[in-house]
Amino acid sequence: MKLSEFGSRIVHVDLTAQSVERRPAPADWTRKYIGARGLGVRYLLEADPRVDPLSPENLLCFLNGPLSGSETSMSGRWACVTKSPLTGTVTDSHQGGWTAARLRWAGIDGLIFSGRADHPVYAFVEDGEVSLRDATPVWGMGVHETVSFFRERYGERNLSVCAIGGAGERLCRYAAWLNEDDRAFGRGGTGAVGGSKNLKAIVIRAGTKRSDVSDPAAWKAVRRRALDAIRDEKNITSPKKGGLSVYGTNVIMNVTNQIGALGTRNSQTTSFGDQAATISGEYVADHLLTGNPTCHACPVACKKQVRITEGPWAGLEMESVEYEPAWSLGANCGNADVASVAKMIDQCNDHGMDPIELGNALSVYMEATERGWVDGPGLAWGDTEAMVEMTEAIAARKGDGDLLAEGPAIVAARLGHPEIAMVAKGQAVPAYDPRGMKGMGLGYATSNRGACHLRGYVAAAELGVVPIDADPLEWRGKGELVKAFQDLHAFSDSLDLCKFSAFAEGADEYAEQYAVALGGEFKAEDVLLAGERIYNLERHYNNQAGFGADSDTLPARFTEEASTEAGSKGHVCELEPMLDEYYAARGWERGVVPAAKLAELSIP
Amino acid sequence: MGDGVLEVRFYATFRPLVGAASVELPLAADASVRDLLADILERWPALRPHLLDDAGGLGRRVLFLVDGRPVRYLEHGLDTRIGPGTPIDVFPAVAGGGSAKGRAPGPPAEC
Ligand code: SF4
Repeated sequence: MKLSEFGSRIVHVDLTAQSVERRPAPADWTRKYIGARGLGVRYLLEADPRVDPLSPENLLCFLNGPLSGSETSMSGRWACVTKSPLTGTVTDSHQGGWTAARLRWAGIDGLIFSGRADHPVYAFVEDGEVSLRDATPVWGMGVHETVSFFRERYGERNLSVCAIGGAGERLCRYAAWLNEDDRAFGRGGTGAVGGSKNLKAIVIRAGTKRSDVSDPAAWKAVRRRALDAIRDEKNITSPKKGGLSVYGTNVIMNVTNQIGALGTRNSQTTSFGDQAATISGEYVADHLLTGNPTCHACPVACKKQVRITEGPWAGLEMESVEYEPAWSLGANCGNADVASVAKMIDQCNDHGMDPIELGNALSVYMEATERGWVDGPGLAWGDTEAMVEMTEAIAARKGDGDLLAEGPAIVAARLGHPEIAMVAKGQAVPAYDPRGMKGMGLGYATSNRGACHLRGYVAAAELGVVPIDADPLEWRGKGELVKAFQDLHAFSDSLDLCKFSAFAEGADEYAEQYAVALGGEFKAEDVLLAGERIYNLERHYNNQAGFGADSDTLPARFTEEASTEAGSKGHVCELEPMLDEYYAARGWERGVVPAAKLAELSIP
Repeated sequence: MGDGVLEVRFYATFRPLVGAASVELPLAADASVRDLLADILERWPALRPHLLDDAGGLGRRVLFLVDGRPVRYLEHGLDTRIGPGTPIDVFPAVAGGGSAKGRAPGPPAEC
């Protein structure tokens, strides 16, 4: 498995013709766009960016990065890249677990699906071959049952199953793909694109294979340096010692709550007060934790497996109570009951839905209920049993669940109040209120896949844990900073390493590992240049898809309604001046990439 | 502000070091954050390497909140006056760590 040959093993699957063809990616593409996220966007550009996301013409790309599945620490990631049915933008989403590694061990770098099968199918991958097989027996099954079905059929050993559930089959706009039962391509509705193509699952069988690197002697040292940084007790990645390893991502809940950046009840306020404690990572660790699962080649083990012992969902075992869903289904819905949060995350994992979007669809509906805009009983804040029932109804598209399956922007618009949808480019905001963390607000507005915390995680600076001065309430200076984070992540998402690697590694470590593994020169500045090129390529795609000047916006709630809570009291998110700074740093014209910038970055 | 008692809340990996999620500490009139920090370090010396940097100042990775604001961004920094009702929250690095060599950046979360 020569890492330097990455890109030569791309398999194109035409679902309409039921044909499978191996076609290497042009070398120029892997050099400029690296792999995974960047390479996927380059492929998408070959189809018309104005394509209907749920039509056969849309491409659905599952791509490894050049380091995915190698011995590189935290390299168990792959990307799903497509045009989103939720936003109409390009979208990319990433999964951990072992699927990416198994794809590499099976001798494949990526799968690109086009067309639409005339009956449900799944792709079976083994020994460098891809075949389409009949998925009729599993169509209608949830993800958990689908995984069990394939484990029974092919054996559990060396098997990975990545599948959609009922939400994807029924084209819920925020349907997700899940692998290993509970790791999601979460955002952007990639599962609905699978459903529209009648593609139920990708099943991969492959045993461990070692990777061949271009310079084995240097590789050992380079890998060791990165691993030492991950293990360094000063870093939160430090196994069993750092906050991320001990508490998981939900270690952030109390912080955002205390600084007035935890949107509550559909972001009507910015703190959940004392109630945040019972949905926090500390609470989960003290009361529910049963295990710390991990991904391929990762010593951090940030996943948190829990067991519910009391109440209506007693007996439920699931992973993982992450920060984002604990917020979206917790504080955001006025819900302080962590057992119900675990239940709904598990529903999302089984039906294949994005819990961030689900929580926001629910919170819009709850606010509308409170304000008397819903005909019928609606949904009350924190009514956990009704929330669980509504989640079922959404996955089944029954009753009002049919409307909520369209996502918060459409729910709010249909109820006559688009202003209560906390979205950017149609995608719901995640768990950092832009009034209390202003750089995050700029990041949401300028994210190429709609509101997102992961395109540029400037929170690391605003929460003071990287050595950069970035007062969360200061807007000045955030334009440059957000750009820098976005470019770095665009690169690591294209490698494809877990984003948490950036808590211990920087552009130097990325460059070093990439160069030694694949051969040739590659420096930290090349990391940032490639990241910038990928970010601009995505924006160029969006511009062609219809997102022109002044498309980078935030809901007026964040820019006009001041926070009333400690930490951020009196503050709004000053988006406009931050955008001026940001566009100047990017060289864009009000959000549009000019021809000169495309030429400067050799795009496409 | 007269003498009184101040509640200080600790989080995440600081809790086992302190042995509690929240403690009440006596507070002198006109106390500053600097005084409070000294008192905390005296009571729980195990926190010292986590709270202080090599030069003995408040470490950059610590999020020490005074009424919801990181103390490093307050006008008077560690000399900010605090009273019995002032909310104090002390967090270790939670959202990231940054490169061992002090380079930027990093995020959390899935998908
Ligand atoms: S840090 Fe967490 S999400 Fe990332 S690779 Fe490790 S276990 Fe997986």
